[in-house]
Amino acid sequence: MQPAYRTEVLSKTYGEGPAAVHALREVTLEIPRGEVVVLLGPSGSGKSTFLNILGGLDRASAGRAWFGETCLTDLSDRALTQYRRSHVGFVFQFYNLMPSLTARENVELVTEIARDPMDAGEALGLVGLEGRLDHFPAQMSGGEQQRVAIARAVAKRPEVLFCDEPTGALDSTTGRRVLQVLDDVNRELGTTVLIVTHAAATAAMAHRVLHFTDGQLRETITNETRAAPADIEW
Amino acid sequence: MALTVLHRKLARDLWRIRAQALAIASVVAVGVMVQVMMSGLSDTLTDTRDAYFERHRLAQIFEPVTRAPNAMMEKVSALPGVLAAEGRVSGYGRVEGDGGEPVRAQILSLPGPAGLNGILMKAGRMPVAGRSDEVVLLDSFATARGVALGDHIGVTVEGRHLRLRVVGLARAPEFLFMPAPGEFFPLDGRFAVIWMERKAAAAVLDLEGAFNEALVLTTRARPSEAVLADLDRLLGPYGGGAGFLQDQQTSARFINEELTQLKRSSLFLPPIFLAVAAFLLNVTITRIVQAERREIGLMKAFGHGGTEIGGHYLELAFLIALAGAALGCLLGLMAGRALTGVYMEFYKFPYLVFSLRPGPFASGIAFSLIAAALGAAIALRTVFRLTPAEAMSPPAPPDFTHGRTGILSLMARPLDQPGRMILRQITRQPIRSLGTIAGVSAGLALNMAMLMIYAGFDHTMAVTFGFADRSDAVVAFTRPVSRDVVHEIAHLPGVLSAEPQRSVPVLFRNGLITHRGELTGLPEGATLSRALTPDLDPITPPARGVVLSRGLAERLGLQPGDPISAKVTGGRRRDLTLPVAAISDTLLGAPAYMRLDALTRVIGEPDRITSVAIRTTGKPSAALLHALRERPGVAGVSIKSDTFEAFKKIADEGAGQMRFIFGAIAFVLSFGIVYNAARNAFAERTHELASLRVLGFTRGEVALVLAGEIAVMVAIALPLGTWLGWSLAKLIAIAFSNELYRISVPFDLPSIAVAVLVVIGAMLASILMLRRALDRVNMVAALKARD
Ligand SMILES: Nc1ncnc2c1ncn2[C@@H]1O[C@H](COP(=O)(O)OP(=O)(O)O)[C@@H](O)[C@H]1O
Ligand SMILES: [Mg+2]
Repeated sequence: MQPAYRTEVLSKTYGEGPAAVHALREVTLEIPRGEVVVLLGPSGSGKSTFLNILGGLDRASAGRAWFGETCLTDLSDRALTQYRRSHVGFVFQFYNLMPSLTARENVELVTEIARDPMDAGEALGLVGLEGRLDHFPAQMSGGEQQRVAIARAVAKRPEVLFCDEPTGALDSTTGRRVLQVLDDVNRELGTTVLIVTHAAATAAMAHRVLHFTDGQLRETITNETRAAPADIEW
Repeated sequence: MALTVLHRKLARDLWRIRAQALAIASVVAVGVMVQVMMSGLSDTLTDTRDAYFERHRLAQIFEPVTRAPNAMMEKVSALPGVLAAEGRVSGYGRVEGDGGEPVRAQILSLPGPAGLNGILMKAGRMPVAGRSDEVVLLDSFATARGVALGDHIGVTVEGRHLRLRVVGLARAPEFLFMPAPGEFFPLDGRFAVIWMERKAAAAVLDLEGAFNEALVLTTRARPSEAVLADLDRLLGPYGGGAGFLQDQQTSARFINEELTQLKRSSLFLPPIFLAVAAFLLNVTITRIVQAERREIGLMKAFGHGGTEIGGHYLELAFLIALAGAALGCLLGLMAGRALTGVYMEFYKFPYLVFSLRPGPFASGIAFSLIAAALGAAIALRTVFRLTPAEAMSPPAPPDFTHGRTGILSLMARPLDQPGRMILRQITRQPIRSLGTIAGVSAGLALNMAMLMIYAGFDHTMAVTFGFADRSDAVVAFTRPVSRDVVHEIAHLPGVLSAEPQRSVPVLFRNGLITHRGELTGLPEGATLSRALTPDLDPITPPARGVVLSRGLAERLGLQPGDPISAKVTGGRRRDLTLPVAAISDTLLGAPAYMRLDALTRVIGEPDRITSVAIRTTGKPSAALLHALRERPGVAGVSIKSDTFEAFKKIADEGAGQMRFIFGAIAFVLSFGIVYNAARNAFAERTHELASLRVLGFTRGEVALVLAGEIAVMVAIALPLGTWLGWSLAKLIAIAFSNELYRISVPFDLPSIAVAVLVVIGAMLASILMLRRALDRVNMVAALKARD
């Protein structure tokens, strides 16, 4: 089966000359479809940069990246927007919900422009928020807001879900709940899920773990057995 | 140390919000500009008028008589309250020009030893004593007719032909604004003033050893009205009794009106701009303070006091306001100077130095600082309230809960999500949104009102020259002539029709209010010169009674049915009391009409007329003018197209400049408000907008969310502003109407269209500028930054 993503000597440099920061250095890898992939590494090791390039939020300085047959590094701005709109979903550390829209409306924001979305209620049901459809972000806890963000990300049935520190702002119980939701999405919808985290324990729930250090991919580990998110300690 | 760091922050903050700061400063600038310009003009005119009147001893009382022996002047001087008095001789003649139309002239004796109603020599010299052929000529007439020093002019007075040598050119406070008798609009070339030696003038006017006008300056000890009453009584037997005070003197009256108008506009316009500026500063500083709550918390944690931090933001507001005020002072000075030129040409001041009184500048700056302080203070209350801990924790998401209920949520229901975001954003901060809407409406209204006022001028001209007065020329006679003259004139070459008119100088009175004007007699079924109803239907004056123009009726406080008293001041003196029969909507001048036969009957001169209005084929021909010149009794001919052009020139030049100034002002105001609102919305929601981009919304779609918010507010402001503008136009029309002209504002669609387009243009410009900013937003960076 064709991998979800393939990269070849992908590099990203910020700035120029002696002040240049090499955020990514020639990363070459493949990410198979349908897996939960956890990206680990110290702060500043290039995880977010890598995620942002694959997610179409940022551009590489050199090298190439493919999404299936599509070469992302060749796409125009407009095509990248289309790519984000149709194929991928994002979850961030700070939820990034629209404060002026209710939970349901935040999800509808995406379903209105997607090709084959699920019903907003169904998406919120998936993250266990069927009872809070008409609440505004200001009326919800951090964990609940993050689950709305996940519902919003999966409602368009994306092929890939990008999560950058999704539990970073949450306590451990709530964090586990969120990870459980991500695992459910992967299992029930077959969505490829990429999770950036600096909590090493999260690695236990992944099919595959990518270790980043100093902008480079140091090591890839494939888990023979995966732990349930509920059992993860941190 | 801390101070310098805060100052560096101040500089960076200013640089960061420079576009917004500029927009706000522009609004302040416009307010201060209007203030400086209007007050400056008003001060300039007031100062110049006062100085000019005082230096040349313009009389406070004018008492025309038919003929009084010079010895009477001693009794006049002896009246209590009289500071100085002088008798002079005054009469009318005709300048025999260069083959054009005959032109009326006023012959005046030169000021006597008391120097009342002095003149200002612009060139040449006074006539040499004993040289009865040497005269001083009004310089604006000389310029208009190309008469130079040393030239000879032919003048006919009382049937006598004189050849006079122009030895001096002069101006006088009496003739700042001087329409020819019976006309409402001053035309430099249509009315000459000729000063002669007293003896020569008296000889020409058959007034040897006598005077026919007493001029009086009063002391402070007695009110001028009381002195006037004494004078009326004293000179009553000599045909006096219809004296008037300086404020009823034609020229002084118009300049006073102009000053009143300027004062009014300088009072009501600037506060609008400063209120808008205060609002803009408030919104902007609130936004900055909110975005910097963490920095504020930090500063507090480091031990900076609330006052110190508040002062920091206050300084920001002050700097913006000061920059705007400085710019406004400069612009006001420039605009004031430019307009001074226009006034200079219209009013024949010998000099106009744009007044640099510190008052308007100081108050302009002071008021902008107050506006800034007010705007900032409200925003800063939050700074004083925040505890450091609160300030440093990230703010909770803004609460939109209330948006679920109410009409607006119902309105939001059928919308898509971006539509809902727009509506909820607008309704979440209703005061701020209302402020934006009110500000944009104000800008629109102001522009539209001014445009309508100018459309009103055009309307006035169209009505006056197209409906009220349809003649092509008016032939005036030196003294009343038989009505039969009409037939003779009707048979002159090129004359299509001719109509008799009679005008009688009178002093109208209702209670304590007096007005120096004329009664005009029009024939039954007049077709050339008519009184009109508001619907432009002609009013036929009834057999008894007067039809008053609205301006005059309002000035005298009269309504149809009321009696009006009119004292005839020329020819045979009589006191008339007549009923007001109707009010006409005359827009130019302030005439009072009667039926010709009724008027000539009540003044005891049946069928004697003073002018004939004619309709000609095209502009009156040289042959016709020649024929009229040959007629002995003709005092002058006024050609309508000349008046029309002169009026149009003033309207286009003066009003053209004002139109441009107000259009620019409206643009600045609308742009300042719209751009500021857009910029704040953008700054507050960069994060949200970046999120939309992440979710796969295109740049255009994201821009639409921002533009939509602005567009909705502008869309609300458009009808509101139009309504406001229409009301404002009517108010200004009332405030600006005077005896020279009444402004009637038509519901002028082009004015509305232009005003609306200016606002929409300002909106599009703001959106375009934001679109560029939006394109530069880095999604990843925006999402990383938690504001
Ligand atoms: N916009 C940027 N400009 C300059 N340097 C950046 C920018 N974004 C990230 N970096 C740098 O690139 C490196 C990788 O950052 P990032 O991918 O965010 O790391 P991680 O997510 O692993 O913490 C870091 O050294 C970071 O400082
Ligand atoms: Mg990161």
